[in-house]
Amino acid sequence: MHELTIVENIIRITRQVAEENKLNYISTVNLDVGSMQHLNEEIMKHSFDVVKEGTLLANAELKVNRLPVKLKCNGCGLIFSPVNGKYFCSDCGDKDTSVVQGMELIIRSIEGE
Amino acid sequence: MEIKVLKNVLDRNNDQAGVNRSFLASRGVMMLNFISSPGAGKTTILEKTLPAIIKSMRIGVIEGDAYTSKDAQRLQKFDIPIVQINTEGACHLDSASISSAFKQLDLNLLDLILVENVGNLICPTSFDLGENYRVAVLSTTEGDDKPSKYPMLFRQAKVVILNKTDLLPYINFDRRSFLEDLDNLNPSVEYFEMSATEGTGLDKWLDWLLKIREKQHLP
Repeated sequence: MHELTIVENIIRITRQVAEENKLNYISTVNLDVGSMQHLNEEIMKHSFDVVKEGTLLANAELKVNRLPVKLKCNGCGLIFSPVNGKYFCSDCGDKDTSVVQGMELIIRSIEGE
Repeated sequence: MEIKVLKNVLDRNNDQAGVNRSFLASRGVMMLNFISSPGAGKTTILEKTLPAIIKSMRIGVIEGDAYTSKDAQRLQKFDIPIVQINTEGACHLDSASISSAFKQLDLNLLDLILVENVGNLICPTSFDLGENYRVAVLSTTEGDDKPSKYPMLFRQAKVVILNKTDLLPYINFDRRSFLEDLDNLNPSVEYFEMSATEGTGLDKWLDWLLKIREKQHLP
């Protein structure tokens, strides 16, 4: 249940950005979540609805954009998605790979007036 | 209107984790963060690890527990500094709570800090504490499919310990399939098998701990 901590941070950051940009309200929060993050969207949205009460996010919607896992092979440079939990290169078989997408937990943008 | 933000939600935790890491480095202290399910054997591993290394290095323990201080009590017999953090139900430690714990430990008198996180395979994974090594502990009774079910933890961990190997003859844990999944996910991980309660298989783990501690001392 770390969703609540995540949501509290989303509210804190977006309120700050709204104040800096002199917004009166926020209508949408666009959140990028990498697929490796274990976050339950329903719990997160429910927590969001509870924590946003009485703030300028009171009527805001949390939109979650899931990003699939992408790896880069450090041998041949191929960018690929792991299949069946295989994080080694699908082309040359090199086991030395880096996660280039899938760990995100990023507020991409907010919408409001 | 739409305003670009592009901010990490956990920026505050990550920033503090960076501060913790520099603070540890400046004092030559190494920190390990143990993550596992409840009951996987983190405290028992510490109970068996501490007497073996206590003469070689100065150790402090940070115990994260949702409510009780039972784990900390089990370690009191070793006469080392122990800080108890009660998260009051929260499912993870964060870098701010570790920073507060540092204030109760004299870091100038320590070489190694062992952090036992709250028992949970998911939540603690998102929160960098500023540790040097993340240690994932899995017990055989939890099943061989855990690396593929919890890729974030098993991919990020620099060390994986498979505990309760004494139970392998009695349960249907497919060791080969487990090792294959782990290797697919994280081929460079340091891997150890042990039965902490029986005290078997700890040698390689202890050797590794002593080895990385020595490396830390190198300029």
